Amino acid sequence: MAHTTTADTVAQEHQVHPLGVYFKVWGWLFVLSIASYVVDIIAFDPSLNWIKWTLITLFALLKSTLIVTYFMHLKWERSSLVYAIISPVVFILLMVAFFAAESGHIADVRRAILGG
Amino acid sequence: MMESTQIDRTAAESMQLTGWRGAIADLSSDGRMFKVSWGKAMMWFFIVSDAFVFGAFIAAYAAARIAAPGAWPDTGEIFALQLFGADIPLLLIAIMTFILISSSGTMALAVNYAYQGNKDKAYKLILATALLGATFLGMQVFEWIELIGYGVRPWENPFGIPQFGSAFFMLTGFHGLHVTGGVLYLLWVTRKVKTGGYEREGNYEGVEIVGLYWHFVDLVWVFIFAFFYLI
Repeated sequence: MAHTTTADTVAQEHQVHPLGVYFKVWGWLFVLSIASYVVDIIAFDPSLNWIKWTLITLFALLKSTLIVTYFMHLKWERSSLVYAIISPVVFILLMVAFFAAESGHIADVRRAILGG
Repeated sequence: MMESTQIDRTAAESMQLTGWRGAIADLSSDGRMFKVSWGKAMMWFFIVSDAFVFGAFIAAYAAARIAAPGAWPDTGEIFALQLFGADIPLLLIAIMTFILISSSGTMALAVNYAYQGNKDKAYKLILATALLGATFLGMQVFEWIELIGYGVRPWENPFGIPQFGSAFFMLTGFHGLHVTGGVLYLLWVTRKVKTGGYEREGNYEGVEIVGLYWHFVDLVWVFIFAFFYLI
């Protein structure tokens, strides 16, 4: 086995990819981090803060997708593994969203009953 | 008949191991579920379960913050650094973010060079990853000392409601623990690359596995940076 292994089969079995991919992803991670930092610093009218939060969340999701897809090599893994990893994480995001919605409700109820 | 009984038994049973030794024997036995090595499958297994831990923390933080009976402190002001006589908001955190992203970059390159069999480059890049991780940790320690100096505690916070203190120490503390573990793990892998351990085994996958863990630590920071510090 060790004797028949050529550079080509090593590349297929293991995660060897052109270095340019990594530098591109690295660059994008920097750009997206700077973008989210800039969005945070720019003074927004408080009524437009939702735009700020949406952009920051979007950039974070993009960054995490880049890391998982290219740095953690999921792009090149078999689909059985990819699905097994990605599907539970969707439920984590749902859980965070549900918790956030529920606490908004709690805050509203408190304001309605106690005022302020 | 012999063979089927052997297949039915788990590694722990056939080696008559119980407790944590049995658990380790079962988890490390050469079972096939995905067409990846068992070590990689188990690292992914750990990462997904760990993602749930951090998911629960972020959900708890979101719940505490949104339902908080008071104003949340402005993280931009608290984590500002004085530079050239002006307060630059979140400067330290931004630098920490870039350090961690860079360490992810060096780690990705290290995996590539390790698989190419370039021992020297792989060794240097993993060592660089560990050093960047240690730098990140040093800055986090600085930040903790600063905030503890201001009087922030897990149960109180001079800048506003106490929930900020508990969220800060819980999120950054748990992430910092993961970084600490990651740096030690990286140093161990560095040594194994240097002494030719992977070369003798004829397989550099151990470098990719530590890489998976390290990228996950970076991934968690992406969300802490966005949701705790920026928003």
